[in-house]
Amino acid sequence: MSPELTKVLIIDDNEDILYMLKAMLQMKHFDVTIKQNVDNLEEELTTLQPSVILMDMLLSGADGREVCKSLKENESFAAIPIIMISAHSHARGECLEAGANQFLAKPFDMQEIFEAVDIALANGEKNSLN
Amino acid sequence: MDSSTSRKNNKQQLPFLSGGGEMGELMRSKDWKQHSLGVPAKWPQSLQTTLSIILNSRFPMFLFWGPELICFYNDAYRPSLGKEGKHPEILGASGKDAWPEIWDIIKPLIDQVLKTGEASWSEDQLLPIYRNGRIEDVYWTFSYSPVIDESAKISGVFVTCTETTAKVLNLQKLSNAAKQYQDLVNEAVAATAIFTGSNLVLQYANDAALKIWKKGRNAIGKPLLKILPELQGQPWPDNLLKVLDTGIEYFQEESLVYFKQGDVIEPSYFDFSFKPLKDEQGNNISLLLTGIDVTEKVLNRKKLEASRKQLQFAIDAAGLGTWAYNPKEKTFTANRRLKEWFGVNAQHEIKLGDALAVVSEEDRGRVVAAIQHALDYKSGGFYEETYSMLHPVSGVERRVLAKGRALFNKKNIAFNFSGTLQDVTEQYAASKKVEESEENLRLMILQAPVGMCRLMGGDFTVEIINDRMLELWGKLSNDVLGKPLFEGFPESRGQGFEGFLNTVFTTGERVKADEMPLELPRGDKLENVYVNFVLEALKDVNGVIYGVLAIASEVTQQVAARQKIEAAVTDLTLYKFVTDNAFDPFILMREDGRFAYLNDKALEKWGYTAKEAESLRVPDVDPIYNEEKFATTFALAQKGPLDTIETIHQNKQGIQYPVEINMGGIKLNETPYLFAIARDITERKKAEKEIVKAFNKLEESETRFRNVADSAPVLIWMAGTDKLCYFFNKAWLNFTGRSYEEEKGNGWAENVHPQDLERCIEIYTRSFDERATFYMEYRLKRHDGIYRWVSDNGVPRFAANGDFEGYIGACNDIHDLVEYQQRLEQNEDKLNVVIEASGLGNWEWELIDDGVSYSDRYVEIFGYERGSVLSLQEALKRFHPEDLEKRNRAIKVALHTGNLYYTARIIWKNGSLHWIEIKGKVFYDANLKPARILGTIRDITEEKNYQKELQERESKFRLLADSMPQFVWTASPDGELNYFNKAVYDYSGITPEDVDDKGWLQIVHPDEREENVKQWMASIENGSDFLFEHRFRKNDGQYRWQLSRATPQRDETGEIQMWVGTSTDIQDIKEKEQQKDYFISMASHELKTPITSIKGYVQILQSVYAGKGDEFLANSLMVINRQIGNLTMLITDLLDVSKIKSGALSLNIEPFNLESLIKETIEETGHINPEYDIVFNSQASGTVINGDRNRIGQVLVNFLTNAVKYSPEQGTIYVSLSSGNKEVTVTVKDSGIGISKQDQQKIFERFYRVKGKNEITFPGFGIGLFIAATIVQKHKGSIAVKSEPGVGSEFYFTLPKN
Repeated sequence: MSPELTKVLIIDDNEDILYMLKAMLQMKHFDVTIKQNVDNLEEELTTLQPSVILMDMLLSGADGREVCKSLKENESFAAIPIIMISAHSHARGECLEAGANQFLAKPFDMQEIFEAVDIALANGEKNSLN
Repeated sequence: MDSSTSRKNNKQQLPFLSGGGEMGELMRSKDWKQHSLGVPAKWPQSLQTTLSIILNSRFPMFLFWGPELICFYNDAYRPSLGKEGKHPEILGASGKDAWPEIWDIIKPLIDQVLKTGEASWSEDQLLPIYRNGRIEDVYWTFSYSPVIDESAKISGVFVTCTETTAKVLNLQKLSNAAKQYQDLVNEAVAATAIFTGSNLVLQYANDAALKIWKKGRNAIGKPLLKILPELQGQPWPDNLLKVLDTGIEYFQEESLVYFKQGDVIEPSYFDFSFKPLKDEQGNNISLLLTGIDVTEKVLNRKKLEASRKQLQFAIDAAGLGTWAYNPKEKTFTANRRLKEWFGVNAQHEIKLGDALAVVSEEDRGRVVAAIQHALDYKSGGFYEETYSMLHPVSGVERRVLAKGRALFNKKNIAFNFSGTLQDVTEQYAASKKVEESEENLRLMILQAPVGMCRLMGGDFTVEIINDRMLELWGKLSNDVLGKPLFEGFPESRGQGFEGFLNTVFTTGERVKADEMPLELPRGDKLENVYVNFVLEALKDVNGVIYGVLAIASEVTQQVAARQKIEAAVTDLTLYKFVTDNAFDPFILMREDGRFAYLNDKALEKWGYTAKEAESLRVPDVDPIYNEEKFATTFALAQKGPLDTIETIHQNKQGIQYPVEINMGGIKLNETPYLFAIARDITERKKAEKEIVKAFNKLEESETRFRNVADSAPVLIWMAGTDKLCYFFNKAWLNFTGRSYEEEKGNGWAENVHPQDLERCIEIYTRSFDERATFYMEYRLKRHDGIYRWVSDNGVPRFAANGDFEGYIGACNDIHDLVEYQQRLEQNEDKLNVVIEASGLGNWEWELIDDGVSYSDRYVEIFGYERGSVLSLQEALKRFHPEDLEKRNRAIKVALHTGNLYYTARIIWKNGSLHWIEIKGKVFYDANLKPARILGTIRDITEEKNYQKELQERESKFRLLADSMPQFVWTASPDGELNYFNKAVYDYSGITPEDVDDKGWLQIVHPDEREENVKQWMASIENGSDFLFEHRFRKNDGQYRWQLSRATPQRDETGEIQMWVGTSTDIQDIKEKEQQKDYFISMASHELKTPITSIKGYVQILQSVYAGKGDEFLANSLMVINRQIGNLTMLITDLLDVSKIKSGALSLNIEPFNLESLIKETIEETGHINPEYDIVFNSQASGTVINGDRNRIGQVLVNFLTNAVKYSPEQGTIYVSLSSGNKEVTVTVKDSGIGISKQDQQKIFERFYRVKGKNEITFPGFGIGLFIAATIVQKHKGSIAVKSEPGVGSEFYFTLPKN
């Protein structure tokens, strides 16, 4: 029985970034789901149950910080680690304040993405074990 | 048996040898058998008889006998032979053997007696003989007489003698004393005194000496320091003792001695000679002091010195000196005038220490303290001090008022301290004078023989009061001193003084009252007293009344006495008065000379009974007042009071005695009487006679003494009634170097200068004939052939009986004095030369006759030829009409203040305009009325023109500046803004008064104020250009950005004269810049997303094709990845700059380990640039810093990438970390192309990139160092570079420790 792949959800309104990230994470054998907006986000999350979320801070029609905040306030999703990505490097503080577990400034190295996801998963496992 | 008996007989039984005391015994016991004379029994009768007389006499006797002149003597003679001498050996010896030491003297005497048979007599003859173990000087009075034997032959010489040594020595002592006196006369100079013993007891002093000391004759016999205690500690007494000790004469010229004159100790100068006086044996027994007062001479010389200083002073024009002190360099700069005062070259910069050395010693400490105080930030930087300074070369003392202000930098450390120095010597001297006169007044009050006090102010506070006044008030000084009069002395209230004092204080008029009855405290109660007093207003120099001087004396006793007399005359009968005064005989006489009444005293005195007196008449008791004289006196007495007379009274026994009589006429019951009170004055007369006698005696000796010693100055001569000189003292003869024989008579005249002789002889003869004292000055040739000026005081001499005896004269060498006066005059000439040379003209104006005299330079300044004569009227014509009034006003002021000063324009005859400056000083006559003005004139045309030019330039500048739309402002060298052009006021809407009130900083935006001041002060301190961007508030309340720029204006010596600044409105530029920054920010963000995507795919591709063997693909992907890295950095930098510009660069401060950060960064850089060797040297491992780790990392990356970038060839990069007290330092050093000095200053600016010589450019926008500097500054650290082109650069930054 092949083990079930770890699920990662990526949300970004820029298609190029979205597919690039998907390509990267698939190289590491994650089960990657992509989303260009936050429509029906909660239902999809309930269905998907991802282990980690990568999200751009500025989405079309939504502010990633607001989204992050509402998810962290929701008991069902609060435990899912969120990695926030933005070109505005100075927004790190605001994102962490909004509940994001990690912040990555654009442009980032592939290695940074892998490390960030590994850290998120390690912390998430700890959370679920507890 | 026989022989022994016979010997015994021989000794005892010879009748002439019986008795005779010790000598008798010696004669008897001596063994004469061996002697040439044989046994005594066989001696001739004449010898036996003579010896019998000798041995039994109490008078000293001696006998020489026989051809050998055998010696015999008796007990009385024996003491003359002393203890260890000839006794008893010479008994029986031959004269020659006995007296070898004097044999040559006495043998001829003996021979003479033997030959002539006549007795000799010698008195007080010196015959030194051997006794008491040595040869002694012995004086004898002796007689030699012949002894005739049985054969009528002279066989012996009989000597009677007395030793007179003691008498002779006494006589010698006497003559010694006489010699001392002689010495005194010969050696005496103006002041002469003799001291004896280690206490220096004064034995003798002449009047001149006592006069100098202000002592009486009773000083004689007292020790020197008892007489003149003020000499204690002065060199005088010690020098006297030294002379007494060593016997060496001592001279000192112009010796300074302080004698007490009253309460004041005054300096005097003397030429002293201390001469030991020796006795016959040559021992110093006393000491002769002679001194000539040369105070006047010395003071004259000092005056000369003073005039030299005046000369110096004349060159200095009055005015301010300016100075500046650099506390950092400790150097002192000053303008030319001040440097002259300090005595250094005008170019020199001097050390503060050297400048302070010029400050007088007594003021220096105070000045240093004041400077230190001013340099202390807390003091506010103010400095004001008055002190004296001494010019190191000329020695001129100058009193100066120094004012200054210290400026402080942001660290509160003074960086500039500058100010002015004003010569206040004259004011100081004037204030000294005021102090002096104040002190004089105070002393006068305290010492006044009447009551005096000074009351100050309108409440009449007792400021000073003397003992007499306190006595009068019945107060102690503690009761009243320092208190208002009516508070400390309440008893004086209500007795009219309130009114008197107010009158004096308000009107200044004097109030005076005689015999004013007052109630004053005496003991513990009030008593009626009478007082005379004067109240005088005290005015200051401006005539303002500041107090009252009260002078008072109590006259109660006088008033009481007078009242008593008045009462006696008016109220009581005359008889009552008579009985009151019945101590003396009272006599009432009728017109016919009979006595109407005699009191008991009169009867007792005359010895008559009352009955007997009835028949007496005046002539019976007064032999002088006969009938006629009595009648006249009686008649006179009825007309008015008579003078006291003296007459003779005679009592009943006929004894006469002197009386003093007071008489007067009275009328009793219409009958005229003469009354008299007769007082016996026998005793008084006797006493008077004694006094007259004593006085005469005194006068006689005094006169004699005076003639010799008192008027005896250096050179003394005496002349007889024939006008011929018969005495010159040793000093005279020493001076002229001639003998007495040469000088006597008229011989002295040969040494008087031919030009003076005629005049001298005329004065001498005329005075002689008039018996008048005379004074003359003439030149007298000294022993060395030089003529010296001498003064000659001649005084006629009179004997006690009044007979004229001739003249005595005293001369003093006054040559130096005369010469000083002449040199003083010469010096005035020199002064004039100097005034001329200094370009000053001088002038003199006699106010009384309006006479003026102008120097050549003066007339020159007025446009006339040198040497032409200019009258006052003509000079006034040259004045510019507008300035004539100014001149008149200045003179009016000068007559009040004493000092004249004004500047004026004059118009020369040729029409040209000139400026003059006049200074002058008013001199007053004996009545304190202005008598003349002396002054100087200076041509100041050039100065004025220069000044005018300056003013014109200044106004031109303002005109120009005010017409400019830009803001223009100026500041003084110390940074104080002192001018703003019109545009500033127009823009800001504030007024110059607002700037004065609140300062210019009020228009600067509050956010920029602190930095603005900081930068401005830094520029002032360094003298570097000021460049700053700040917002100014506009009149509508809005702020607009300005770029302000200021540069220092320097004079030819490089000293900053002023700062000129401009401010340009850059609001629009600013706004555009902001738009640009916003654009950059937006663009950068937009760029980041595509870069992320490219970068991501490149990395995916690299990862996918890694190890697949496609070299080309792998290389291409690596280049793309690196270039994307560079692109990312550029975008990040651009963004950071825009953040800095918009102030959005924020720090995330957290503690972090700096060492590990450096290690990490080095590792990353080394990874990317493996061809470079990076060496890290840490001297502060484990250093934890509070800061933004990422940002500091950014700085490090920047430093390291620069080091790589600018070291094109491979090499070693050194990184070091070190730690100090307060900060850590990180250094990055390369061996690259280096940076020029010029570039170093700009390298931290935005968009600046160093260009190599070969135009090698390096990638990047050149903003990395700008960002690094901003980050370090935000951490309150510093950043800098040291570099040399071609050698390498060393960048370093510091960060504060926690």
